[in-house]
Amino acid sequence: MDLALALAATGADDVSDPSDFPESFGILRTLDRTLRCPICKDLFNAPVLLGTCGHSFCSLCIREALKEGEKKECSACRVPTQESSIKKNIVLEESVEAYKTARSTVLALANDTASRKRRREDSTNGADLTPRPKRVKRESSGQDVDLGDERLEESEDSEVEIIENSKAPVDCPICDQKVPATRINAHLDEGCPHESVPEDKGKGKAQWAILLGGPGGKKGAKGGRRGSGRERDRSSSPPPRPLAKVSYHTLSNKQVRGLLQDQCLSESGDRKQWEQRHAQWITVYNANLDSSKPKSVDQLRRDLERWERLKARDEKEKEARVSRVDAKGYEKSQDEHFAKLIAQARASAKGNPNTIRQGASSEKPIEISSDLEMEPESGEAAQATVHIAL
Amino acid sequence: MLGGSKKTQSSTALRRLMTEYKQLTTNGSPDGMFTAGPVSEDNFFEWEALIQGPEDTPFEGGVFLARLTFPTDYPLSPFKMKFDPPLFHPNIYPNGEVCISILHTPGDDPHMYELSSERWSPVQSVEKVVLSVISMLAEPNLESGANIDCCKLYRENREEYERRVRQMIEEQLEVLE
Repeated sequence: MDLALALAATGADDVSDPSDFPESFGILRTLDRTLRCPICKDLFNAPVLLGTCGHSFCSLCIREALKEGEKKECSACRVPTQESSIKKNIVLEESVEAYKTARSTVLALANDTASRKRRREDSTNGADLTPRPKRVKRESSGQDVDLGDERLEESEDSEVEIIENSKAPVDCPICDQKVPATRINAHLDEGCPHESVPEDKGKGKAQWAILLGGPGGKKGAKGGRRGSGRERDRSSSPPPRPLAKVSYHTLSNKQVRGLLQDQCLSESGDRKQWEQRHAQWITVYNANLDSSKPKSVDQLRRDLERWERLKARDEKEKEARVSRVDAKGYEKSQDEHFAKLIAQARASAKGNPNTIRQGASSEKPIEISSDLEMEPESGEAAQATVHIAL
Repeated sequence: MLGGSKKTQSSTALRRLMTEYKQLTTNGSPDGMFTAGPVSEDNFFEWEALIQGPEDTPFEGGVFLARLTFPTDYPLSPFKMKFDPPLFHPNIYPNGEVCISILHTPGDDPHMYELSSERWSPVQSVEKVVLSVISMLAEPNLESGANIDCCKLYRENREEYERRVRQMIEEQLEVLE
């Protein structure tokens, strides 16, 4: 199965997950996993903390989960909780935003390193065991980021440095200068002249700098983060307040419509739809407040309309499916079974007419009722073809 | 049959299912005990799982096919799991549907004694559920029996139970071939 194709076909080709990182980078997989919402398994989006237990989720995910369940509890540990315990998790959001910026770079570096390591292992396992100074074989790697500079590889893998890298700078024991390893003997012989070590240039260096927030990364992730922080500080108007939940059953139709009007929401559909629309609005609106980059209210309204359209279609489809199973599959497939039951009932009625009513609570009918319970699905089972995926 | 429906389904559920699928395809399952994925890429809401019978149990040596049916509000609600063909097991209904607490929401308690701590929650996943089902195959839970005859046999005549299970596996393997 071609997953990439399937993802592209469904318009969600940006599905990411910890296993994107090569297996040898277990530490990065762990890092990636810890920055994901346990409900949607995506990187946190507007993360919030439950004050009652300390677990974090995307604001929208936990709000939906609390809305759905009859018992309000943390989805991760089931400690009882309520919406009022939801608190913005500012530090986590900043970390995730920074990580999102860095992720593709880290991923490219990790993949690149992993594929080089593999190639090196292949070559050392081969007949040629003499340590070669450099570059065993290097085809253009298929990675997104071309690192351009060998130095990167050297600085991240000390083992390799020793075996393969004679160009790496070493400290001169006399003058403490950085001297390329290939030059060190000549350097000492010449009595420590000034050495010009080639500057670490190239994309690779810049990429690490972005990650480390060093001089090369000023315009990168860190700068952006600072900028948004300042924006937040600058905003002087009081932050919008979350909307309160409503218990609709105490309200008249007019009052519910009033609620929709207050929020500039559509009043189409019936009472049930109004309530669902308003409840969903409260959920998305409040979740949006937990984001440091909230969407505009207009955008939220459009999202809500889309949500409602999808929901309506889902329900229609479900109905269609149910009726299909009921009408065709179920009745037909059970014909024989019903005939048998009727025959059985007739036989027992003939045999002992006085005990029919008592029979309702005795052995056989119990069997029948349990049979019927399981039946609605067997129509489907009959239609299902054995087809082995993967 | 459901082609073209993919766009209509809730995008949260779809994304989550794709993430799980991706993870299962790249990582595989622990010890390669099962594989799972959508039946067809037109519809990510119907999966099939192939499960190996756990070792040192009468189910050893068997390979079982199960259908997973996901609701559109997944992961808020759990999916359904049904063995096809059905398995002879105390916690599997004669129609193949699996009865296990991890697939019941806290509000839905057909037997009234499942702890809510063992129930479905949105942080559960296909992987965790299938692993629970595998451990259920090894150790049936007689308190919430789904196949009463099988429960009775398991309790009263373990040898016969194991013989029936092995017989079922043989029959199923013949069918597969």
